[in-house]
Amino acid sequence: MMPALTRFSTSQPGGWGRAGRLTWWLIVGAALIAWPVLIPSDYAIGVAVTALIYVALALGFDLIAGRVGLLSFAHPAFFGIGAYVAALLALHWGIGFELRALASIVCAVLAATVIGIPCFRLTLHAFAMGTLGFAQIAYVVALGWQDVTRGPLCLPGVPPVDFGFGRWHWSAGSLTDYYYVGLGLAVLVFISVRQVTSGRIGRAWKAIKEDELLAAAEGVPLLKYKLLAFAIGAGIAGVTGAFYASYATLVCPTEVALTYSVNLIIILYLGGRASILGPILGAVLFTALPEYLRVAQEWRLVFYGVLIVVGSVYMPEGIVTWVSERIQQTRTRQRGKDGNGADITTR
Amino acid sequence: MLSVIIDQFLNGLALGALYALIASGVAIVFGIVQLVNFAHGEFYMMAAYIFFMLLVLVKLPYTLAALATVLAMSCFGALLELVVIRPVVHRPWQTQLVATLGISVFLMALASVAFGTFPLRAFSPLSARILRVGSFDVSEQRLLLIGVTTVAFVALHQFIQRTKIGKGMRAVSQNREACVAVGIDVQLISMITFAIGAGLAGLAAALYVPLVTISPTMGQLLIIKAFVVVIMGGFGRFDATIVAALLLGEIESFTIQYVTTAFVDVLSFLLMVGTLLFRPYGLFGRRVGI
Repeated sequence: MMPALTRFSTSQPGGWGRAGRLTWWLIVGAALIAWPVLIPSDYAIGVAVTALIYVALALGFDLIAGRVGLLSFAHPAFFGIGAYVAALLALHWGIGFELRALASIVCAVLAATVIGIPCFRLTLHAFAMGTLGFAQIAYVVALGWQDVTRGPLCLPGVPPVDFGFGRWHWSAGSLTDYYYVGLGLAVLVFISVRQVTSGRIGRAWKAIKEDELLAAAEGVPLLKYKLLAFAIGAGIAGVTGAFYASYATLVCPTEVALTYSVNLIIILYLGGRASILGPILGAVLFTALPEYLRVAQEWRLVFYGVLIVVGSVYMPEGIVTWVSERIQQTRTRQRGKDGNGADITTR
Repeated sequence: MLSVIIDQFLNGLALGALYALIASGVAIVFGIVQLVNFAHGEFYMMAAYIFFMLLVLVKLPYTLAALATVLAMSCFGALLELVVIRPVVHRPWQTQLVATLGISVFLMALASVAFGTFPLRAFSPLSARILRVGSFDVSEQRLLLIGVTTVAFVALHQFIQRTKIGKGMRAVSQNREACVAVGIDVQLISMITFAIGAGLAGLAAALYVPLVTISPTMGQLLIIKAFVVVIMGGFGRFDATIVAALLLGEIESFTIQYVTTAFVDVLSFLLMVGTLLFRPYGLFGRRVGI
């Protein structure tokens, strides 16, 4: 097995130039900003907000599951912790959104450290199961600790997203407001993930994923970098949870449940892992596809089940990696024709 | 006091028998195919619905319905190995795990499309009958569960120890490549392994379902409990898995009686995490093999 090292965004001979890429980003950005104006239906905007939430979650989840290659089931626990912390702070003390979000991040990162340090001693299946164990503990606590979480009755009436600065105060009222806040969140996550993965840390993760033993021998501190991926992912999940709590105005134990893990895994295996486009494409396809296919709610999961199985059999690296491999192959072949490249890679 | 303890002991034994039937299916597949089957809980759920159809809708007698469920599940397990597992066996373990996760999602969704999410019941003739011995009562279905599980495991043990296929299974669990080299049909062995695992899930459903309700999500918690058991038993060891299952059943049963009902699951997951951290080869400390 050799994971593809190529990505769309890295500059390659024959790829888009710098200006071309800039134009591309501008078009995408303009389309995203204009979206609620272009399609002003509540339904479409609601779907878009859900997609943005999944984009943020999937980008964070990809850090640990894709970049480092450790399949964690604890991610919804961080999302849930973020949502519950934000909801409780808002309901009991009326704390504003910025501080709520910050507290959510801090709590989620703390939880990631507490879960991560013991779990990273485990390898392969054992890591997956260890994190699954912690995720289930979080779920049972959310369900059972009724003095705080109200259990299955949920926490209703979470106040909206608001920002205050001196006398200026703004709070999200309409669905469109939530779309823009969600877009801002997703873009922030996108930029942070891009920054983190393109530098030294990203290279360390890649080294760990390729060969853990070799990376350790080269002096990469394994626990530090694994924990870093886990904690950054958790922080992202935490702040997304805080946003979700306000958006849904309701936090239930189901937010911590295994379903979210399954959804995130579907997204990464559909779109592609260890890339920036893969999780985004996966998240958008995952939320938007069934809406536009008009598949009945109950058949949707049947469809996804088949999709995961077929995907893991025929396209286990996801759409983005699959396509970029094909592009890479075509390029190699073309270069071969020109007679100045003999690096025909066999896989 | 004593009767409460004996009562809880029997409850724990019945719960342990259920865990043993499910977890040994996970363990045997892990030991031989080296794959964590996330869909195993859904095998149990599916078996419960098959059993429900045969017993309640077709109105077969209990014994016949139970046998037919086990048989149907074995066929299903073999078919699934052929269609889904075989194409992903050479892939990395994450991909295999995700493929079984896909099966799990598919089966669960299909069950809620076909039967709805409303809980169903399938009573056996024994499920309402109570055996009185002296001063305490015990449900006869629980006794049947404990008895049949014991017989099934003795039979399975003999099968693995004595028959040619059983010897093949042990050989594959020890060294897959060597088995290919000496001409053991590894693919056939994995197919039979899946059939046995699914059959055990079918047996579990036929024996335990008369005591509980049937719903599409009934396998979800159970599969995680099965993982707890498999890890406590030390990944793939067959006899140790059964002991661990009984242990977990008793621990849960007495925790519910004397400590807490809401957080009993937290205890089992802490047991799992603790085992992973402090006894990574299981409570009985030997490496993988059946």
